[in-house]
Amino acid sequence: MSENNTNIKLNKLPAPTFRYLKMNYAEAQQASYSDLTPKEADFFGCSAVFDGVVGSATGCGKELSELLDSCGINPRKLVAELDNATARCCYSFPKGDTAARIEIEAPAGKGITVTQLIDSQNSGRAALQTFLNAEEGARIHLIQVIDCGAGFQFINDIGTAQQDRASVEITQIYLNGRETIAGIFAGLSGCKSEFRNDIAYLLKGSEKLDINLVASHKGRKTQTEINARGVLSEDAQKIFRGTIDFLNGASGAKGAENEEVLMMNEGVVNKTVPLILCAEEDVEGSHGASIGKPDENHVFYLMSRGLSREEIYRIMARAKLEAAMRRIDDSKALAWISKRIGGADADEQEYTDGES
Amino acid sequence: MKEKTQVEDINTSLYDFRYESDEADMFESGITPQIIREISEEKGDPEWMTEFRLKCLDIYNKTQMPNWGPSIEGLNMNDIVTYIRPKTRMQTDWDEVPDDIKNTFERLGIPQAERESLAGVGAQYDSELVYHNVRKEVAEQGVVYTDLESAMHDERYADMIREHFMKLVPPTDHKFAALHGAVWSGGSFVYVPKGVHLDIPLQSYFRLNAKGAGQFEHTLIIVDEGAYLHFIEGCSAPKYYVASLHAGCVELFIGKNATLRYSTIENWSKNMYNLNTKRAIVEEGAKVEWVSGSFGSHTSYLYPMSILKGRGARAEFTGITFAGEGQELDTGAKIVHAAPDTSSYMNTKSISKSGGISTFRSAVQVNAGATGSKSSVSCESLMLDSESRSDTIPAMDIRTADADIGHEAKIGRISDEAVFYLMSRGMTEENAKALIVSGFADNVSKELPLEYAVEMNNLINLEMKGSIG
Repeated sequence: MSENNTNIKLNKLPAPTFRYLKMNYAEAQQASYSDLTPKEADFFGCSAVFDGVVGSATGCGKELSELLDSCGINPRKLVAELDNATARCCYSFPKGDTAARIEIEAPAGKGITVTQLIDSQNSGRAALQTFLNAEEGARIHLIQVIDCGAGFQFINDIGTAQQDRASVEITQIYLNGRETIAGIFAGLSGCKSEFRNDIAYLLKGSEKLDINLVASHKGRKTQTEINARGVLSEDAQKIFRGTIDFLNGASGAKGAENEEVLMMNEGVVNKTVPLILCAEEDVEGSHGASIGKPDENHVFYLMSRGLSREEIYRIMARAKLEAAMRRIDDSKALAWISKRIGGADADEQEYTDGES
Repeated sequence: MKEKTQVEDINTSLYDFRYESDEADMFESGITPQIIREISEEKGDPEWMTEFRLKCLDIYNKTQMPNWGPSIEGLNMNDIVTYIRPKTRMQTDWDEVPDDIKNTFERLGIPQAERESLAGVGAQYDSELVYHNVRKEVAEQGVVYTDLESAMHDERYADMIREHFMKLVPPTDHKFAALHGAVWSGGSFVYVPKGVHLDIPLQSYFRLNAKGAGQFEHTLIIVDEGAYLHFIEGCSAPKYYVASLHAGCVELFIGKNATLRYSTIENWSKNMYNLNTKRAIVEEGAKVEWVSGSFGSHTSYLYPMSILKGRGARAEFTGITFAGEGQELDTGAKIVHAAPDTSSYMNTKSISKSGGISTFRSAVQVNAGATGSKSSVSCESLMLDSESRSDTIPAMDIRTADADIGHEAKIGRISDEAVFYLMSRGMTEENAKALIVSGFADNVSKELPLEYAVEMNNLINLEMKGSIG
């Protein structure tokens, strides 16, 4: 994408690499966003207020926050009042340029699971910025399922601020959307705070997914686990920037990052930049990546059991989502996913669990 | 018995001696068309080369500095002397080399190595080769090993040089490639004919003696079909308190089913900016093996690139980087899979201590159509204290589904469990830690000929007595 004054740079790699690879950032056109409220919202054990605050560090970067500020998109706020609060917000982005911001706060010792089910019209642009504020010993699980239109551009920006022993888990499933730019910044400043991110995606056609994930370990004995799994088919393109950043003083911190990509046919493009930045001696960081076509031995075995190659590929693709789906205990969200990926019991689940 | 309280930085005393340079031999500092013309005239360049140098200068002036790596703000190009007139013409008899230069290389052990274990040796002192020799039996096989300038003026090789020079690393590649094209001087030309297998290595040694100077040697190696060569490159300089620059260029052309192993032990002084470019193009069934030890310099940008052009071409990169106090060493490799059934393997280790910054940076590209390609990258970093820094920045760009790409990286400290185990077997904690660090570097040292592995161990200087940071 050529540089343009009307573009903003998002998802900047914390330590840039060779320019010719064109991996150092993503670009998106400036937009004049208008505020959007969720189409549906169900809350249990939490309260919604209107004075949310989005922290300074998010995955997409400050240019997006500045743009949303200039468009007057004010954050709403959800505060957990129990240790097992839940909230489900359904965003249905219309044509045109819309945006929403939300701060989710778990006070000390409280816990909340928030599900964001996101779909859109066939064309348009939208930005969703979510900030997770976990106080001492608090727990937040954010579940996102994204199913945008075939001509839609979606910017999904997340930041976390985690105090001592706070735990944040983010589970994201990307099903559809012309172009998705996703940023996640985990601020592990509290001692023994933990962060886990499971990302799953199915990209097809000419869909593009651009992910920037930064786990910033500032506190002692902090932990991160990142799992990104997905399938690329037809002419789909994906870039995954995953950074584990051990700051000086983060002694005893551990970070592990794992990526698996199935490339189903010629024409797909996969880019991966898994960084470990380390300014502390007493840490353990690792990353691993496995990228390629389906294992022919597995395919041969399954074909010998009577399955066609197409069926086998479909099973393999679904298996990449299953690992992330197992992290989701919201039955409506699971039904929502199953319906969209053609699960056998999808319709039944959607109606049965619709009110849960 | 000497006791140590921490792992030593690289011991540079062996390399840190100098002889005064005659200022009359040094060209004016900076880079101007006038200086470029003077260098070209001094060297008796053919007309095409003079024009090429001036074109490169133009590209240099138009190209921006890299903005993604370590800082090079301490390097002021206006202060760098790009050419130093040699005290001697190139000699093939060691006794004819001037005493101070001869003493330099003798202290570095070059003549001894030539006698004992090399098929040929080239020695560059500042801007020019001062000695080049190749064993008679090697020359009789048709192997050409000479300085690049001589080859360029020799009608037998002139066309070959013009056909290959800076074709693999064009001056438009980056700012310091353009600078190299403008001011290059010295370096070696090697041609190994079809089917010739050189059992013992050739070595070029580069010594930058002058203060505030640059060294811009160009190494051009052509290994013809089915041939084998092991080429060793060594470099060092005495330490000064002003910046020096090394912006060399290595171009390797590896013919069908040929193999080239290119080993480098780099120990520039800690005032050196090492902005070197190395690249190989590998034809069908051929193989390039890079073995790289980076110990010296203030700042390094060093990423040998392998372009796997022919079906079944292979590349291996084995590297170790040791960054001590005041050093920022940004090293790694680049691989381009441009043909089917190509394979690459990268295995690197880095050690950081006393505030040193070590960065592993790599790029693996698998082009569309490079079906059946396989790549495996493994990098491990060891932090010896919390003043230091160690980053890994690997990138993969995969454009074919029929590829098998694996990557793994680990970063951490010396394992307490491993130390405990060794101590339970009777070792002191200090010895246990030293043994672990020494073993960490083993993958590179075992890839080197014995005498160079010994040199590398000397460079690492991990003494078996003493506790580690």
